[in-house]
Formats: sequence, structure tokens, C-alpha cells
Amino acid sequence: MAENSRMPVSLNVGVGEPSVPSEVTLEARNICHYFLPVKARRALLVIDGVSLTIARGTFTAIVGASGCGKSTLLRIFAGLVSPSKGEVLLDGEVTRGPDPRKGMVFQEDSVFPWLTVQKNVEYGLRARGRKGDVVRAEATRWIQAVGLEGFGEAYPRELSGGMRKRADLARVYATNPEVLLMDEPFGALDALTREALQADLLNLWQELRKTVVFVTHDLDEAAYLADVVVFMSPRPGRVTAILPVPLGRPRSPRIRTSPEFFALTRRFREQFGYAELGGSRALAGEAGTP
Amino acid sequence: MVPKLADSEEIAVRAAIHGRRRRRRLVQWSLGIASVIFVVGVYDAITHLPGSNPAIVPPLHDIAGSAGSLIAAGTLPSAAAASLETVAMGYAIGCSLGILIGSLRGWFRIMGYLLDPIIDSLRPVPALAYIPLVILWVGIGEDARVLVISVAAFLSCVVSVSAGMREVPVVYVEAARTMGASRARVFWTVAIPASVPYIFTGLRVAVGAAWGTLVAAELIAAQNGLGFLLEAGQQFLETSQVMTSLVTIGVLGFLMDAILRVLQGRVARWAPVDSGT
Repeated sequence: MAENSRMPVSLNVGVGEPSVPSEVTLEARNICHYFLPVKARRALLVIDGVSLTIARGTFTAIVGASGCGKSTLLRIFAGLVSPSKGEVLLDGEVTRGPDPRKGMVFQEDSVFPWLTVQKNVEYGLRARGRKGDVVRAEATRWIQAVGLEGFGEAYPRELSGGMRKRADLARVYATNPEVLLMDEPFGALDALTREALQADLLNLWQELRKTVVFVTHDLDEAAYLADVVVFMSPRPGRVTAILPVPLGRPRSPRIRTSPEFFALTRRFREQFGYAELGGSRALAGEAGTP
Repeated sequence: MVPKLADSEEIAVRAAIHGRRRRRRLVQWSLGIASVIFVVGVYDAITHLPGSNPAIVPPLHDIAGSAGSLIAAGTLPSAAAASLETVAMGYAIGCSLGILIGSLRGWFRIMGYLLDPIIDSLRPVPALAYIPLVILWVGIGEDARVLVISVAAFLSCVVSVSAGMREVPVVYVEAARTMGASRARVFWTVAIPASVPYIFTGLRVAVGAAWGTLVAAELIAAQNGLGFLLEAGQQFLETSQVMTSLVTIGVLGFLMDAILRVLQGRVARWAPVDSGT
């Protein structure tokens, strides 16, 4: 099943769901991207011919060791980086640059520390020219939805890291993007907070069925959240496999301790070659991150 | 998701926190006052040493007497008012330009390319070095002093403001852009607020620069003002008057800084205010 390919992999991602027939919403067409390190003689190929199609309403995880270009790929999707070659299509049209239909959650704290939670959540709505009481009501609704009720007037530094992440999610959800791009959003959180946020994210997703592209290096996280997992290998960053997650929905946190879940994550680990190589390959992947 | 405290508990918790804050403030004030008293005490002890010359190191009561008569005669208030006015004018002009130019050159790369060579070559020239040129251009007088102080305030403000703009974390800009903010909106709603702490640092450094330059400017060309009073005190060997003027300048500078600190606490409640500059 391992499609260990040198050629760009292109698969339709629309899996085992009673959802909409796999209508493509986001598409990467043969993306190549180079970095030019300061003292290097030659440009470094970080993404090598990645093509992906992502179906509307699905949750896709992109996993890989650090340095495999997964974050860069996501930033290309977001329009924050323009690829050296190739193009990104949204609803069948080429997009360049940020777009109101694409929302992004970053790994770092990106809620504005100079605004209260309420104002942070209102920010995106106001940036889109909406005004007045509607904006306030909308923001309040999202603050509630992410479990921050009563913290609207708090400043981010008065909140814990997990709560700041919740505020961040509320802020992006409030702008109602078609596609949510998430770059290891829970990577900086402690394990317990991370699990709580994962469960809450899953509940929100279950309700709203946004298209999500979620970058992570955590295979358990990918298995728990996603419908489809895209595996990438480093230097150059390539898609090595696309595997479905055959777990039912809705998923409760209990599923994480089930035998199927273990079998699945084991399968994912094998995909990375842990079994054969005793982890050395993963270690090699850690070295020399651009 | 937050457990609410019972009202009575809430009151007790608040009281404890407020009590702790009040105690900290009390310690802060008492130590501040104690250190001033200590320095004054050391000075007083020096004046009482055998062989100390009251004309050179005037005892405290002489300084107090001099201050009293300068206040009674209206000399000190009028000098302080004159200096304050000059400083306020120069400071306002210099800092406004400093914030404007500093944010433009710090934020917009093109503006940086355009302005960096000019500002970075003006920066090493002390504002006082412009005095001869300023006198040639606008003559001796209030205009000249205001101009020199503007230059001093501008130069110390502009650096800190553009540094602040350049330190704005990229992730805030990217977050704003992905939420649909235009470049202009990012400048007003991200760059400016994110660099408010730096802007205040610039404003506070500029207070020192403005007063320093004022005194020098008044030493050269003034008929009134604290610098003039200082200079006159030296010429007539009125050391007490020199001391009084020095203390007045110190107090006025301290008050301006205190006002800025309070203002910063209000404007940037989200960022902790550091007490030192």
C-alpha cells in the first residue's frame, strides 16, 4: 500500500464519509519550492513536485519529520509564500496571496496581545468591513463556542497558553473561511491541554464541516483528527503516501485507547520506516532543518 | 468553563490581591523616598565636614534659603515656566516627527531605504552641534532653542520607534493578512499598537535629551530659563542658585517621565511597563 514514489503523487482525498461527494475545494498543482540558504552555492529544494487535491468538508492531516516542507506547503496554501513553481487552486481558480476564503492558525501565539479576546475575535470581521453590533454578537458567539465564555474582556497575557489558542481558533472561525489551514496549532501546548483542544476542535469540526488542512508531526494527533493522512519525506519534501483513516465519526477521545487506533498509528509509524530502521531514519530527518 | 467563586470568597480573594499590590507599592515608595533622603543626608554630612567651603558646597539651609527667595521673587517660577514652554514645544515637534518618520522608515522597506542613510548619518551628530548653524539661520532666541530641542528629541525618538516597528513579530502580520486585513490596515492595527512600548521608550528617552539640550541652549543664548539661572549662579558664585536650578530641572524631568509612565500604563495596559528606561 505504500506508494513510495519518486513522481508527484496525486490522489483524490474524499474518504469514507457520508459527506458531500468528493468535490475538490483546495488543490496543489505540482508545487516546487526552493530555499536559498545564505552561504549555500545551490538552491535547496524543499518541496519537490507536490500535487494534492483536498475534498470539501474533509479533514486532512499532513505529517512528516521536521524539515520535510510541510509547514512551507501550508504557507503556500495560505498565500504567505509564493511557490517557486506550480500553483494553488481554490474552488478551481488559481489563488495567489491571502484570501478571505482561507483562514490560518499558527503554531506560535498569534492572538494580538494589545487587544482583548473580544476585540481579537472581532478583528477579522472588521478587516472584512463588517461593523456594529452584529460583529460584537458574532464574536461573542464564537468566544462561547470555543469555551472562553466570560473571558471576552481579558487580555491574552492574562490567559494560559491553551486559552490563547482557543481565542485564536475563535478568531479564525469567526471569519468563516471555507478552508482552515492549521500549522501545528497545538504543538506548543502541554499534553493534557493539547488533548482537550483536539477534542474540542473535533467537536467544532463535526458541527461545521469546514475543510481543514492540518500540519503536524504527531501521528496520534493525525489519526485522531483526520479523515486522510498525507505523509511527506524530507529533502526534498515529497508526498510518499496518502492513507485513509478508517475510524468512524463522530469520534470521542475514548477512541484513542482502542485497539483499532493502536493498529492504525502503528501502521502510520511503519509508513515512516520506524519498524525497519529502529528510528534512525526519523533521526536523520531531524538533522539539518532549513 | 470557569468555576465562579462565591461572592464572599470573591471579595476575600480580591482583598488579598489588592493588599499585596498595595504593600508592593508602599515598599516601592518608601524605598524611593529613603534613597533620596540618603543622598541628601550624605550631601549634608559633606557640608558639615571641617574645612568644607559653604561658597562651593552650600549647606542645605543655604540652598533652601536661596530657593525660597528665588520663588518669592518669582525668578524661579518664571524661569521654570520659560524652560518648560521651550522644552514642551521642541519636544512635541521632535517627537511627532520622530514617531511619524520612525514608523514609516521602520515599517515600509522602501521608506527605510530612502531615509536610513540620512537619519543614520545625522544621528551621531549631537543636537548641540547644530547650535551654530541654527543661530546663523534663525538667529539667537526662542526659535533657535525650540529648533535645537526638536532635533534632540527627534533623534532619540526616531531610533526607538523604527526599532519597535522592525521588532513586530511576523506572525501577527501574517495572522492579520490571512484574516483579510489590507496592508494599510496592518500598519494601523498591527504595526502601530505592537510597537507602542517602543514608542513610549522613545518618548521617555527624548525627555532626557530635550532637557539636556535645553540647558545647553540656554547656557549660550537666553535671558530667562533654568539654564540661564544656572549660568548666572555660576558667574556670581551663587552656588545655592546653581543647586536650586539643578534640582528643579531634575524634578521637572522626573515629572514628565512619571506622566509618560502613567500614560503608557493606560494606553498599553496589555504590556507591562518597566520602571527604568
